[in-house]
Amino acid sequence: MQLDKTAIAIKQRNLDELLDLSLAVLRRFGPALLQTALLGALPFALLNGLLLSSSMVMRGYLFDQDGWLRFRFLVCMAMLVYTQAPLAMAGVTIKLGNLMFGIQSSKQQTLKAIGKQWFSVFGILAMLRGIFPMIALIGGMEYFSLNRDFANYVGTFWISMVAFMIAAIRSVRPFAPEILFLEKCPLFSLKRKESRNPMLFGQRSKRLHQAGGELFQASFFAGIVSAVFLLILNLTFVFLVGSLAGAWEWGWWMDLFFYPLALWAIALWGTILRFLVYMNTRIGAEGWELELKLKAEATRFQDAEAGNRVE
Amino acid sequence: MSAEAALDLTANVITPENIQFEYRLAGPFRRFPAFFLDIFIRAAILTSLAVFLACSGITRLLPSLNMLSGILLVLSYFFFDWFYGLFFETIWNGQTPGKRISGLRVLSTDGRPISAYQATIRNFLRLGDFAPFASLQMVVADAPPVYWVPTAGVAVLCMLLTSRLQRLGDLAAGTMVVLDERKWVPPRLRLDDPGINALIPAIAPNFRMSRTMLRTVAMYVERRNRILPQRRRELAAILTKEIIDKVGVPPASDPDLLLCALYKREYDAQWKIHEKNRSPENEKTNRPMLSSPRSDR
Repeated sequence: MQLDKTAIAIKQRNLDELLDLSLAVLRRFGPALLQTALLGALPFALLNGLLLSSSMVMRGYLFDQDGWLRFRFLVCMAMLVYTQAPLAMAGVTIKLGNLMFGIQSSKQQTLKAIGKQWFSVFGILAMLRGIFPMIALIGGMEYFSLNRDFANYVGTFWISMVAFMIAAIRSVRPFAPEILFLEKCPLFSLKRKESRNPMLFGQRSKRLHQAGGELFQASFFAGIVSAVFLLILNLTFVFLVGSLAGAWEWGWWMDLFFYPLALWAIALWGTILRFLVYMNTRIGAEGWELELKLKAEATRFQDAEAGNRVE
Repeated sequence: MSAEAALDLTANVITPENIQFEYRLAGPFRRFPAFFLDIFIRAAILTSLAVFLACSGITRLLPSLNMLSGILLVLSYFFFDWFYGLFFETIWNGQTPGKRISGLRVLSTDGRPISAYQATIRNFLRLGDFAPFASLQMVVADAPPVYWVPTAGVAVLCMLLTSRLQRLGDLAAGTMVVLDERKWVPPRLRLDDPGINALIPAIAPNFRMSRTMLRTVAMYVERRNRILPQRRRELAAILTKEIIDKVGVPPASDPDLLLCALYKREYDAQWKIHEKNRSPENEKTNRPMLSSPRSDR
């Protein structure tokens, strides 16, 4: 593996350049990433369907077209996908890390890599970053709330508040998946000296997220672009369904299939963008491109010396 | 690893004279500020025209002109909407005011300036790029059934699928949007730290860096000021621990200063040769430039 030969050119870039580059990455590695994203998102999509769609059907959404019920459904689905995306797209993060250095990894290897970090994944992504709390909150509201108005108004408010808090954490500390899956930093280590990675998750996170203002700015713009992309995708889906089936309105097919599909597509794009911002942060703060070049140069020098000795 | 070149937002163009140019491409996100600025300029001109017509009293003097001013405004809107980009891109060599402010330029895919024909095609096809158009009825049942909300799904899809980030209009016209930048030549770096100067004489005279090592060290020296000192030493040590025996300096030497010393020794020699060749004496005798950087040794 030649460390200075990477699949994406390593250099410091602006945010608008990174946004453009995310599209180019999607084009070049699209099929491989889509496959991995699909495998990661499918279990969560089914769970979300179980949480939201079945209760909507049971409550007669399909028949009475309650405006608030629909609004709550759209908000809850967006919040669920938003919180689940870092874990659901863990495979994409690992795949991108491997593709960067031309390493081909199978699905089993990817799963194994996630499994090895199960404790940190559970603690950081599932609990602290709100996957389980959000599922519990929405599941409780959907299945155990006796008062429909309470669920519609107060429930939606609280879900939005929890999502807002998660968004605040993620906007200043976005690289938890990269630290866990690419740098493999443990949450804590009893045999720290024997550990391959000398840094713990907390230490690494603190060091990597020093440029909090820049990261918040990037997250803010990424959020705006995601919202615009979501709108474009959904309107395009409405147009396609209208053109093919003659149904031009936003019907149940949009709520149950195309809207979640658009959300997961945005999650995939967001993961690619986060990976690019992560690379950029490492380049800016730690001279990562220099590290790779210097390591490659040291290896070349060693090889040349070994060759000279043989001669 | 595949032999594919590293992914970057650049387009290489080779001229018939076999000269290669590299252009930095602008995708949808870098184009957006220019697009927004152009819309703003057009809106400002149209608003000024409307205010002028309303305040000038022309319509009060001649009531029959009341309708005419409306027609004039509609015609102006049509003219600006369809011919603004075409006009400026043709006379300003691929730039509109928005693109000029944002530092963008439209070029042919073969690197040549765009023609009026290409400007016409790419601007007239903008409507296609805005498709599919959505109706507000999709979300608000009482809205009028007119499909006028542009989603720009076609433009985004085309840019996603093409290596030069071209929208539909660009594909049809054979154009691309690039960053209009001047070549930046890095200045000669001044390394006046006494520690560096002290290390230079200690470097073994027969130690020579390979071309790639030279480039890596130059890159390091150029970037080091933006990296924290502790991290700098960590980085420099990656290479210096391998070469220190050959370089011949004391093993406890600061890795960061050692790389700077290697850089300074190499590039100062090159700089001296360059200065010498540029001296009036040499210019008079028209002596050829020395090609090898260290041929004076």
